[in-house]
Amino acid sequence: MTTYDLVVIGAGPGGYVCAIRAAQLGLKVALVEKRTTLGGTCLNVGCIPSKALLESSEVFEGIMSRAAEHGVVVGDVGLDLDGLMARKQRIVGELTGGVTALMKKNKVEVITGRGELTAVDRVTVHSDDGATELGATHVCLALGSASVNLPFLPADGKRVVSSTEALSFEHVPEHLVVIGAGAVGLELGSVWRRLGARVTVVEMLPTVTPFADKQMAKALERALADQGMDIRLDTRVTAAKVLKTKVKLNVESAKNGSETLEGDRVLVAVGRRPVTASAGLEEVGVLLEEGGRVAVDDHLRTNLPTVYAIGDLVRGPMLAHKAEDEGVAVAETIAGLPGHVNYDTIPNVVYTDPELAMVGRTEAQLKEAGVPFATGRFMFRPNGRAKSLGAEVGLVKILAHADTDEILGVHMVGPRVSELIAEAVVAMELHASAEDLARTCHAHPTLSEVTREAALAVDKRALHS
Amino acid sequence: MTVDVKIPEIGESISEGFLAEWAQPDGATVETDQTLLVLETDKITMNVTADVAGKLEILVGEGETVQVGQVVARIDPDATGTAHDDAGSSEGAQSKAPPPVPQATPETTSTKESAPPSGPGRDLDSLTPAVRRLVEEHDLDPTQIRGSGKGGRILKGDVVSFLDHRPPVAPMPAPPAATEAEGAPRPVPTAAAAPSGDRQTRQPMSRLRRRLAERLVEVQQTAAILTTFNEVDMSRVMALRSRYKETFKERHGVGLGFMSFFVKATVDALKKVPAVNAFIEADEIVTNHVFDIGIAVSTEHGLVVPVVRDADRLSMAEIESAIAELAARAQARTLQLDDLQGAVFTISNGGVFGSLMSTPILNPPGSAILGMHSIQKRPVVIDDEIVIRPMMYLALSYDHRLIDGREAVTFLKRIVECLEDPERMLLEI
Repeated sequence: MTTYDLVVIGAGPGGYVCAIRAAQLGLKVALVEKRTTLGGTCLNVGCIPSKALLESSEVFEGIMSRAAEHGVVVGDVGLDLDGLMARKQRIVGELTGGVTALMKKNKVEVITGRGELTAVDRVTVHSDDGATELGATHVCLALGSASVNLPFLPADGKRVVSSTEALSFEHVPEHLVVIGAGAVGLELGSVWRRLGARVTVVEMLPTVTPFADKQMAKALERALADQGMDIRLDTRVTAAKVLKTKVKLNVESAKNGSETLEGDRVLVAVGRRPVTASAGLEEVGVLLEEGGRVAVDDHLRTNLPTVYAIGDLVRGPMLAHKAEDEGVAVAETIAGLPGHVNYDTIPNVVYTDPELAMVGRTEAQLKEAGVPFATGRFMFRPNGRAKSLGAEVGLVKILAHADTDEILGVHMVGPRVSELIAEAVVAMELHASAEDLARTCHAHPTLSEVTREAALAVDKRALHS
Repeated sequence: MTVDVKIPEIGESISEGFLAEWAQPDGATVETDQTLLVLETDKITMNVTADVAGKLEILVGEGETVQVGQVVARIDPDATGTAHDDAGSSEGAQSKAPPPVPQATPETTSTKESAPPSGPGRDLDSLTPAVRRLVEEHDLDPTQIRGSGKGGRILKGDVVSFLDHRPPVAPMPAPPAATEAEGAPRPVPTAAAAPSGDRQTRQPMSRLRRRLAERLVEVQQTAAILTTFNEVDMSRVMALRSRYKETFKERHGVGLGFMSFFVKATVDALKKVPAVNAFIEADEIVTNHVFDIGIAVSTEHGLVVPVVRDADRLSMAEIESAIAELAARAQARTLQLDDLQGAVFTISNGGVFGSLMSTPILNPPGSAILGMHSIQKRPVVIDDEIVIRPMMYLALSYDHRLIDGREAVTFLKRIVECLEDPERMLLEI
């Protein structure tokens, strides 16, 4: 039996990054993964393929509906869904292959099979070839999460699907009903709407993207509705009937009462739950919190001192970059360095068009915490770059402490804000004030000028409003 | 052969000054006519420049009192000094620190104190933009501010809280502290800048503020100051001003402000009540026959009162441009001694800061001072009707040893008349 300094179970962005960092720090590392490709949900059936589809569908819709506005004349436009899917698969293949190469380069041993914690210092890997025992001085649990099913509407992978299948429909649905207006529901809803489907989104809560600042959620909802997405908020799915070619859903809302929706596909995107079963956690005595997540301390240590857990398995937002940072922190902690994750500055992005991006706290959270704050807002509409992109919808909002001017939250809806948010994250990580941002030169013409104007607006001195 | 750098003749009756700041570090190579040091005296701040080019050797540190003719440095025209790094001695920001030590040779401690230990936020360039702005605006020494950011970095919030806590809460004899308070007398400091914990900092009073403090206390002790109040309806002046603002600016190239009205009204009143235009010297009463009006100007370095000469012979436009020019020079610290001497009467406008009422202190040798205040819309009774008028309280502080209440009140009422009815000035009625 080979013994490793660290055995990581799960090769998603949290797990594989943890393995690389540990190897960099001189540890002997094994990475156990049940899929034959590395990268976890994110690379295989999550962030990356959905971004590929979003981009392709945007190109398609752009040619259909916006080419003329740019003075571009096109002939017959058609959609080759197979070609589109092949492109997506090629991108996924390149990236997962890249992770494999990274493991090789860093001398991380990759072991394919289902990893199970069988003792505090033992991981058993189950594969077709049988079971292999690994000795583990430290273990990092990076098992990830899986889509949640609705009890009365179990996913069958055909009519009723999770995000995984919705990335690979063989035909563009006629009417796709999406249950859940979070990032997954809105992104995949956008993909299929752009490719020609009628899309209805049903959300139990009164806003889309409920984690976002209310004003921004509202702005995003309006923009998506303008594009033709039928968004039903405050609406609950009460019953479902799966027929041969369609699904009938009973929905209820205070506004519209009881209704029946018929779609040929239903995407259930109501959230994800941590994967804690079948990895031996309970048997070995790893404590779980209420809600089923693994309980960890500030250093991501479970109740067993040499067993760590990261990513979707533990508290906090289920985001790939949060898992990555936790993976690095765990590797550094095990190596005797001060590993640390700043949970106050984890950005969150929804890749719709316009995009939504945020970091820090919302107005509602600040009000509830009784923190005095000043607000600066600036719209994309007067921005020259936004105009030339033909993407003028949206705004940037900066919340700064009323006394110290420290930036407490930055919220964006608009073109390419997934990239713009990075500036705000760096600023917040350095505890910058809104004035620091306002006094920093921004290139012209760029979308980032909107961020600067919002920072100026905190002190009521925006230049172009 | 080296050339001495001496404190030059500054003006009549000034024999000493205060070496506020070295503009060049010890060992720097300086050019001819380059500013070497900033000298503060009672009234003015002046730059002393290099007579020759060469390597600078500093003999007297910042914060020292120096005599006219004293040698404070030497320049060696044949030697080349260390390259002068701007970041090491940016003007203003480090003025309260000991002379900067050339960065290339940090162990050279030729001056009485070594430089504070370098750390994050020590030089201006390493500060965040907002912190840099605050430090420059308030003339702070960043080494005195504790940084709570990453690696001890100073955050804007740290400066804000530093400024909030800056005036010391001292029940015991108050140590001199940097404060923006206007003209408040403070004890003369004896010690040079010395860090004294997080809640307070000490720095020497500027020469200007020391002198200001002494004179304010002196006049409070010698004169019998009494203040009389009145109020003025500003509607006529405001109407006139808004009516001719554009034309005035076009014709004269200077904006029509309130100050020219007040100066004119003051001159008129001084002519009517000559007792106000006088002062006591020993046992004699000296009456002025000139109308040199001092205008109090608040600068970031302290209060100065430059004088508008012969205001009785100036047009409104000439008064406005004279004031604008003096105020600009006060901000730039380029006033000459002559600009500040001999005001027979002073006008102080606390209204620009929002003061509603105050009792100004005399500016000797003048025996009276007019305090302007902010204009407020208030209900007033005119012809038995309550109407809304833009009102300003006026205060006249005067030396009661010389001026009787009747004269003071007559004087102030005349100013009110002239402002409420500007034609009176024209017709001299």
